Amino acid sequence: MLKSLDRLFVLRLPLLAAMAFTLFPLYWAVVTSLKQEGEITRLPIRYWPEHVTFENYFVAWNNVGFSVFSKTACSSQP
Amino acid sequence: MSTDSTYTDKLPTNAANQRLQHRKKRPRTYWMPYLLIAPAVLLIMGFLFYPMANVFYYSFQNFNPAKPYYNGFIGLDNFKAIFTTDELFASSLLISFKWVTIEVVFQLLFGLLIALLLTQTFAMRGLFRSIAIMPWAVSGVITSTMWSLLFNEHMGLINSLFMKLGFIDKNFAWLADINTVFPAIIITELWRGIPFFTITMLAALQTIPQDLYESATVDGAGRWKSFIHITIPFLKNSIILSTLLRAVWEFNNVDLIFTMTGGGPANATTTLTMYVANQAIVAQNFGYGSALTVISFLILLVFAMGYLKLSRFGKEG
Repeated sequence: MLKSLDRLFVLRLPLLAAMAFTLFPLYWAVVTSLKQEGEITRLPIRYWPEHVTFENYFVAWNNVGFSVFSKTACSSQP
Repeated sequence: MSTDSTYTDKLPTNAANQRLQHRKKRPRTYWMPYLLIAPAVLLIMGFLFYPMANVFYYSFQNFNPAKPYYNGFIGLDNFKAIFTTDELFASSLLISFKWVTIEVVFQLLFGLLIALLLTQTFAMRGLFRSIAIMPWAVSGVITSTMWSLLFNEHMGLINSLFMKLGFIDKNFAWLADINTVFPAIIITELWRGIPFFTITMLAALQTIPQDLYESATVDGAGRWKSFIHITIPFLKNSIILSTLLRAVWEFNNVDLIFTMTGGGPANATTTLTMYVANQAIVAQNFGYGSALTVISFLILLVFAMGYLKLSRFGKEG
């Protein structure tokens, strides 16, 4: 009992806090990328997109120019 | 050459022989070693020395491509202006100092803490270790995009969270207020910087022999005593080296601040490096920017030498 309580405070709770701090911004970036354009700015904030969409990825790849940027990042030729 | 002289010392010393030796002892030029190190030297000269020398050269010039009529040698005028009339230089130096100190201290603290957690044995430790190191793989620009989204006034998660918890009663622009912008970028940089210390400390912790802890426990030392008397001395050199590296990197850090605040609002986040970027890259004032760079180079040089000297890096005890 005492040993598990000790482990809770010395390992599990701090580890949980560290993981939450590390993962949350990444999680939030992913969730926002899956939201529809209008839902990103809509209040109240939702922690999971109402309709999961990959549209943002298509737009970024085709219209914004990510297809070109990725090639530039991988080679010296644009 | 020295081998030659010791060799001749042992030879008979009559006159004829000496003359013979004299003829033989003509100084020889060994060109092979120079040839072999030439590529490395040329590379260092070209990529390291030339740009640095260029910055020193331009620090004595008034150089602005937008106003070519005023370009030319002005001696120490740039430095004079920096130290006498430039108020932003002093404030940026102070902000740089605050930035580096807070970042390095807290990154070391939290990094060491997480490394101590991750060095214990528990289920799925490998997974947690890789998660802890993940932010280190995220570039500064992406980090600042992610956190700008969280700090956003209208759609930011932090506002919504704090309102629910009752800390604030209306949306707050974290990155537009002089009092909150600095803590905000500090937290953002902590997120990205802690993993560096986690990695180095975790690696250093692996080198400590476990039987030391066992014998300490037998002798009645508690967790805190073992930490102070075993862990810290073993980590000392890693701590000194990683904090030195990190201090230099944080001093030179520009990508995150540049993309997140651009040094504003009201220069509240203008570190010295950010000031250089604004002067040289944004305002195209390369001469003045070079002079600032020379000063920051000297500051870092003195800091690094003093730090290694004072911390007795690599010495026992």
